[in-house]
Amino acid sequence: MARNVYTVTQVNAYIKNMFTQDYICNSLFVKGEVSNCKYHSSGHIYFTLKDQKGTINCVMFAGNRQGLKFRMMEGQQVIVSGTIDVYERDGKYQLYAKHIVQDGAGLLYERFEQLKRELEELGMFSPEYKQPIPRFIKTLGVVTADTGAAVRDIIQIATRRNPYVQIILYPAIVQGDQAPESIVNGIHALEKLGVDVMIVGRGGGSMEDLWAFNERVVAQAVFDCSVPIISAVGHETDTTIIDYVSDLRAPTPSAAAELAVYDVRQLLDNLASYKELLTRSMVRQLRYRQERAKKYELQLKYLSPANKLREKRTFLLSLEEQLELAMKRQIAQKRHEMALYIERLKGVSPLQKLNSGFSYVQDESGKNIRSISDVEEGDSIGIYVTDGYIKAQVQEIVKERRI
Amino acid sequence: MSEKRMTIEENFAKLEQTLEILESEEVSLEDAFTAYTEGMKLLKICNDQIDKVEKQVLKLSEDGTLTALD
Repeated sequence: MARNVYTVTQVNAYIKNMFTQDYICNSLFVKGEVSNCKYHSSGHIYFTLKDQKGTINCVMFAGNRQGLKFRMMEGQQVIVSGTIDVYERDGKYQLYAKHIVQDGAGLLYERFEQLKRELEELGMFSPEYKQPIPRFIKTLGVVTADTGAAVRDIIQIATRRNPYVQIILYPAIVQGDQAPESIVNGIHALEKLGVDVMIVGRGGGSMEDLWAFNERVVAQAVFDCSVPIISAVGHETDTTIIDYVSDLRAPTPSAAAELAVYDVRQLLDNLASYKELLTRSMVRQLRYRQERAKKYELQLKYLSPANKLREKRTFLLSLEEQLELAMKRQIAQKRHEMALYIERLKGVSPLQKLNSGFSYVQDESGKNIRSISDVEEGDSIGIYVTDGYIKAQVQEIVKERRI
Repeated sequence: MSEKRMTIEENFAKLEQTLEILESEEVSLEDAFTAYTEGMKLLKICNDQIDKVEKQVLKLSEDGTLTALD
């Protein structure tokens, strides 16, 4: 049976390809003791990791140096994260280091990263699982140690913002072996009691101190909790697993209290302004109608029959005045005419003649005596002169011839 | 099912709606009055919802009993 013959290069390339495609080799944590550590002038670091039974060659390239935060020395216990790959020239595989941490803290770091990745893959950090934090709560559950700054800060700030919110504290053990269980119990107890929002956390400390909040059971309890949870572990810079799982991450316990508890003064102010707005709008509605009513009233008045009546009355009055004026004019006219007549009459009046010394003579029957034939001797006659009347008797009648 | 108890948020939303009605020009006087009364009622409910009794911090113990925190 013919066998294929490969070149060394082919074999190395083949093996390299195997490494490259391997899931574990692509990203893993390896712990061991440092030996043969050399800081090369190029910036690369060459070293060997060893334990009781074996060794592995490692290299950290200058480009990855930010993944090493301390001076690596012989005999140190470290955890190296990176990839395992084949160096084809030598036919050797080695660990290409990206991060190197000292064991202890390093171990925790590794566990942290691993759990974080796992939970993230499970989707437990997904935004769609985040419950909204209700804005106006009546009860606030707090899972933290009942001594220390964290609980004091939370109570102080929550009470200052709103003394009417009921705070229920579950005094949990937040450090040490019993801590995870205690925290989980607290979350369950407060959930059962039915608080509106929960703050789960503690004050600052080392990574080991905060470790309980990186435990899977705690993360699971936070994730499963039906009550919205605000995580508040340590300081701004500390990030724990539950910060990713919780519905809201607060940088500190104080901040958590501020996020959880609404400011009652502001709310009361809001209510007051609502009230004012309501009343003002209502008053405006009324005023608007009043104005309209007033306008209609005016229009109505203008069109009212009383108005028409008054108009007519005024018209009537003016007619009356005109009438009166015309009448007066007429009278004056007549008077004037009469005066003229009087003047003319004066011209022809017999009284004028009396004034000039003439008299008017009449008989007893009042008939004018114009001739001697009108009277007989002994007749009574009346003679009118200018200032009166003379009664006389005819004594003699003498006939005279007029020239 | 009895009428659901409204949260303050819901009451606020209703208040906003009520104000919108009141601010509109076309609303009838009857509707305006109804809206106003409703708004005042909502305000009272909101005020009542803030149960203005200062609360003492309570401590929940393992056996589920609540005691005042000293």
